[in-house]
Amino acid sequence: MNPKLQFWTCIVCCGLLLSLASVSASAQQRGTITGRIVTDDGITLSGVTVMLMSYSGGISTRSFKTTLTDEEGKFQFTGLPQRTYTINVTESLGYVTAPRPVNAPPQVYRIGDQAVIRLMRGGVITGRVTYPNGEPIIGVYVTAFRVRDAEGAPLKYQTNFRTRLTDDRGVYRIYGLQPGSYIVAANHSGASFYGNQSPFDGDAATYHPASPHDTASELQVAAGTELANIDIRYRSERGHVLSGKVIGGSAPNGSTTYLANIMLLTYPAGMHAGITASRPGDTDNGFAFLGIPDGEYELIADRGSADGEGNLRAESRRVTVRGGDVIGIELKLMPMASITGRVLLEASTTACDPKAKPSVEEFMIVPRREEKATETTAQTFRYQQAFVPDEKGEFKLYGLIAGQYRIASTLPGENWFVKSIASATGPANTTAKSPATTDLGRSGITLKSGEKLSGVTITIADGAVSLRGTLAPAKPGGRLSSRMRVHLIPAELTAVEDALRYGETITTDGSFAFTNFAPGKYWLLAKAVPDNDPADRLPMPLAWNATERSKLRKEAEAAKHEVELKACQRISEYVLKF
Amino acid sequence: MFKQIFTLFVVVLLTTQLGAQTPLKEGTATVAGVVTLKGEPARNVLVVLQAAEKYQQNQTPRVKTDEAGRFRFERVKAGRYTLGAVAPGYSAPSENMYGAQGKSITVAEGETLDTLEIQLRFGAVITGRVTDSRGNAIVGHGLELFRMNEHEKPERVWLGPNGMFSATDDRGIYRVFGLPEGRYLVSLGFEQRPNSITMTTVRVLYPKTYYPNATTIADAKIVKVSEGQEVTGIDISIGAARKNYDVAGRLTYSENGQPAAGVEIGYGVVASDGKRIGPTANNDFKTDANGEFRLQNILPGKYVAFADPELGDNWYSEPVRFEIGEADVEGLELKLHRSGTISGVAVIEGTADPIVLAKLTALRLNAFVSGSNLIAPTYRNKITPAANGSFTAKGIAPGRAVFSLAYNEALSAFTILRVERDGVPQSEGIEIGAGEQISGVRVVIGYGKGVIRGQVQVVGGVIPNTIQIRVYVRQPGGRMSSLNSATVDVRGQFRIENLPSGEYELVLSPSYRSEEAPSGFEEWKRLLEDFKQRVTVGEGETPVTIPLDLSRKGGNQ
Repeated sequence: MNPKLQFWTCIVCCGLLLSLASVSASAQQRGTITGRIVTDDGITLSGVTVMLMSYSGGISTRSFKTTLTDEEGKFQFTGLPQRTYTINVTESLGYVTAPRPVNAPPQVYRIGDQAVIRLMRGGVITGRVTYPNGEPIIGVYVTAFRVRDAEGAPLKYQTNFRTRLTDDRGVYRIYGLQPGSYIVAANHSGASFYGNQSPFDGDAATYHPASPHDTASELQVAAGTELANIDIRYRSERGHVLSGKVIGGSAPNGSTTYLANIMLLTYPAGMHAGITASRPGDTDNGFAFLGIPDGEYELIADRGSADGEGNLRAESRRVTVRGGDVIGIELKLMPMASITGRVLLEASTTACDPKAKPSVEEFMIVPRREEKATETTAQTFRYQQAFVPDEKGEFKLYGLIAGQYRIASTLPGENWFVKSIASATGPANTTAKSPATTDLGRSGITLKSGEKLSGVTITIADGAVSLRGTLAPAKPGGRLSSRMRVHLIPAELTAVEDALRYGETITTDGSFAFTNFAPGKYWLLAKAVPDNDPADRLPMPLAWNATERSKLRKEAEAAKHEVELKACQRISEYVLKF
Repeated sequence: MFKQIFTLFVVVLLTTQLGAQTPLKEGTATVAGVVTLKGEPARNVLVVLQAAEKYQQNQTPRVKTDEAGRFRFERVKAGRYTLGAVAPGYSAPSENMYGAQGKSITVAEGETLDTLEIQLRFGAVITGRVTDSRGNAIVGHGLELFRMNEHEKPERVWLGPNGMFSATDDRGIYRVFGLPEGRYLVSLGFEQRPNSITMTTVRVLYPKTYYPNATTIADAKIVKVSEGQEVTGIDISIGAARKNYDVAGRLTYSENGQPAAGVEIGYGVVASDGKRIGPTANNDFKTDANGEFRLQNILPGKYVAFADPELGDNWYSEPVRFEIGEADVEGLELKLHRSGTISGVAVIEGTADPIVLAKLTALRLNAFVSGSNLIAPTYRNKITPAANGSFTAKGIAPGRAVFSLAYNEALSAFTILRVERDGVPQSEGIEIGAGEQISGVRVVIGYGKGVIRGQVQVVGGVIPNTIQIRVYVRQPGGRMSSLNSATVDVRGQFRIENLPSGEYELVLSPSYRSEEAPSGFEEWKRLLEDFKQRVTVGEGETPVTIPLDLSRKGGNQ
């Protein structure tokens, strides 16, 4: 991997804004991203489609570009404006991308990068679906859900699934599976999203071998292996109907273009249980899920819009299905909140690399919502998005639900750090000499439902530091637990409340990296992650909570792993004894 | 995480709602019959009655057959439906594997159709493996099957959305089942049809290859299957995937040569006659601060590029030709010129109901500009009439502007009756020159819920199932497409809704379902060309009988 890609800076603050310069919009340079696909079994994938996507402009307009790998598995994209890109291998021939650590930053590329796309041979689950008398079931969807990662850690959002139909012999074959544990179901309501009429509509899912969900067998799939004879004896058990309508949020101009999407998740497991759409309109905006077994569920509904800014969303709704249909559920769509503002590059006399001229369109901003312990699974699910400022540095983060937010950023290269996030407070007062500002790096951003917050300034400064290292047991023969959380904590008293100075990462192999941090004194601290913590859920950084933060500081102060990093300093082989 | 969000979004757009098992809304018709397999009743088979023209209907009536193979839908509302059995693995006439199509039927209020029969047959299987020239499996690609019809013309077999019922697995193996007996062409890959445009996104475009390794239909080998037969070893060897290319250029204002920033650039195919622009594509490519743009993922071929300024902007561009060979194209120069405007008034005719009249401002007009020469198509939509009906359509390129109403189901009872300029009807659209400011246009909109319930009475022959007849209703002498239309079903019936009261003319037009025109299609065109029938539509249903004398067919050549 290109080391330039590894940053996930958390948050900022700071005092005075000195002389600030915005990035000039003129004369963008263009460049190239090259790359190659590397497979775990050494097979060269040539003629494979590689898709490059970019976020551009003030809203995350996706533009894309595709190319094919050559005889050596290499590819190249030329003539690219200076922006942030993601790369997808869309034609993976049964290979899958290696699962990424949950706290890894979005894998992004910038011009000049050499991308290495690592793929592994996907696993296969195959078997037969029959009636109890052995007769094959033809044309039923079979779905494999990944419920644990390869290390056995549970996955909170079991939305990673693949579906295939049985053939005329009742045989299904699901391929391209990432390593991990799976449960396999025939006629799962979440699978029939193509809207075909199916003779099995209304039946509850049957899990391998012949069970309802709670007693489904977990199957371990290792990379590139095939599990055969994973047969399902179909129970032909009726499920229930869960239906209702989406109300509110009439589209401007009576437009009927956009559908409301309704998603059903099990509670609290967060397993995908169904997805459907309803039409906005006067009469025909109902939805229905069929074949739903008894259980606890959550419903979420949202509706897109042409520019994304008009997106609507309903509060997530808990529903209990117990022995009968649940009908008449109303999901009320409401406008979503947004944050607008500007990214400023602070002029600096101590640039780490005076030649580096980043484009402000290379910055990515991810609003992260603080999850509360009492909140339901679906509350923040699938609403995390990345945004990119336009060429003037202006951004609009939209489609946000009510809550407390922190701003996470990915920055172009390791020279930069987020110095502060601030907003003008109170009504705009042009007569005031220096308008009051709120330091959002400390407080976070509170958004009410549908609130439009403007005037947020994210200041980026040169001179960032980075610290890479590995964990080592303090005692000879000591062992690390399989997942460790490493904290970076500012040692200065002035930075105690500055969440932007705190870093947190999870490691499974003992290596860690903190990049894009302000120069200063830091403490390091490592803690084991409890085994039952979900592996696909980015934990809330402890530093966001004042109580946790002070506990963390006390522990870190006692552990005495202190390091001072001067502007632009990069430490790469730090050994943290734990 | 990001990938996942994106994937879910795509899935959601494809979503259609499954039918809940709710009885039909109150109607008075009955649709009933029997499903049979080899003459024996087929029990426990799902039968669905899909309203023919309701996109994404929430509640599709569905029943399962009883012990005697019978099904019955009651309280059916008048309308057009598709009746089909969903019996995976079996085949039924005009159906493919999963009941994507069925019998088209028209139902009137109070009518009882209870002698319908759906004959199932055992489905056949075709299976094989698809590999590239080096023997590597082609994974996750849907096949395309064509069944030879009675005229030896290949007809495409529906194999699910994105060919999902026929997709190859990780070994390159496919297995298509539930096929009716017949003779098939088995293929995989993409073929750029003449006069079409392809927006590639995530697809690998393999060259179209027919079993066993033919690149043209003429060289393809036919696979013959009988009822219930399994044919194995239908392996296909496919060539290398096609590459696509970029086109880069710059957009400036013709007046001063300054760069035009933030303007969308579209591109289109040059039609085979070289004079018109065929289908166009727009991928949200915009010019940057220097007016520069880069269109991406374009397959080899002849195209034009043009600027597509924002609604409300007063600019248009002339298309510039380019050709993609086996390399990117650089240095295309596009220019923006001042455009024209069309202003006038929209009025609702034939009603004094204030509630109906008040909906005028909820209507949205579209103006589509095209011309006989190579001009960029401009589509100005969401033109909003003010409370007094006045409107202005900006950004109109020179050519011929045709107005239409933006589709809105809640307002489907409104239709444009005619467009006048200074009192003169403009049935072929409004001619507009470069930068011309046209005023005095009157868009006359009708309102009505009248229905024409028609029966085509065929004498002197039968309509072959390769031919489909569509009935158009128009104001006498008006444009063919200006009002509603409907397809004539197997029983010769049709139904056209949402008509304002008044005098109309019915005209007929043939079409075909196959890839190419079936033999004798021109004759059908000529036969139907002369047909016109007047009808007066009131507020309710107006029954119409259309006599069609097929003995005249071929007689007037």
